[in-house]
Amino acid sequence: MAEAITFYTLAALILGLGIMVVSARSAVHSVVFLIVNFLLVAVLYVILSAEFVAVIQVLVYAGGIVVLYLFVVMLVNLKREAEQFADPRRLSKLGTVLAGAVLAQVIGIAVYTSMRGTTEPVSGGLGSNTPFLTGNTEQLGWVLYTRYLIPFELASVLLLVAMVGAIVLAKKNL
Amino acid sequence: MIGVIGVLVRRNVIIIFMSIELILNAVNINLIAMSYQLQDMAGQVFVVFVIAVAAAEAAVGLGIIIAFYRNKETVNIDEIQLMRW
Repeated sequence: MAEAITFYTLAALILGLGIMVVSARSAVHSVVFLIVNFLLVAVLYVILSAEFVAVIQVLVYAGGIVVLYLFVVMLVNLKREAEQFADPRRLSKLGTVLAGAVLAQVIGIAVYTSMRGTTEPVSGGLGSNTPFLTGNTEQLGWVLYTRYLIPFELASVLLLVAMVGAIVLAKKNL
Repeated sequence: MIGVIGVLVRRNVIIIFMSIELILNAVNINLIAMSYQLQDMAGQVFVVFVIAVAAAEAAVGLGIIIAFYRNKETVNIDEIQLMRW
């Protein structure tokens, strides 16, 4: 019961802060709401017994990405309101119709899938040769370095490419 | 959902990027919940990958914004028409 109350309070707070992020007038306020949003999501991860991901969330999102956003917001100090320029050529009606069609399609697929019954439960998880591991971080590390070793290396290559790309993009004379 | 609305409605590029982060966060929450439900570690592994990709995307995207702002002095999405023909 207490867990349910905690979960619904957290969910309501996360959704409300998401709305605040999108609807805030100034970009700095948006970033601050984003920080609180990420921290609350980390609390939600702890409730869902994913402690390692919660720590990663706080470190990477609330610590790294948001600081990056704050830097950019401060650098790109808005002289004038960005929202005032309205392009008359925006195809809003056509876009609305297309988005509605896509939404109807997605809802139809969802209804059809749920009518067909539940899918097969995903097998897998820890293999048979896994030693007895306690703790979320140990389990995650074991799976990450055995079954998902090649995607892990690909992710590191992706991070390297992104780092080089960001440095090249932010260089002076492009 | 909120992130998608943010991407569609706002015209400030930085806020659009924040909305993309919100979308990725929603995906992460779903993955963690499914991982908890199915007692499977694959969801959490995938969340780690999603976070890495989000960090890379934020770095490159904000680099693009900085480079663009240095050239054009705007962060309005409607005025960014370099690739329009």
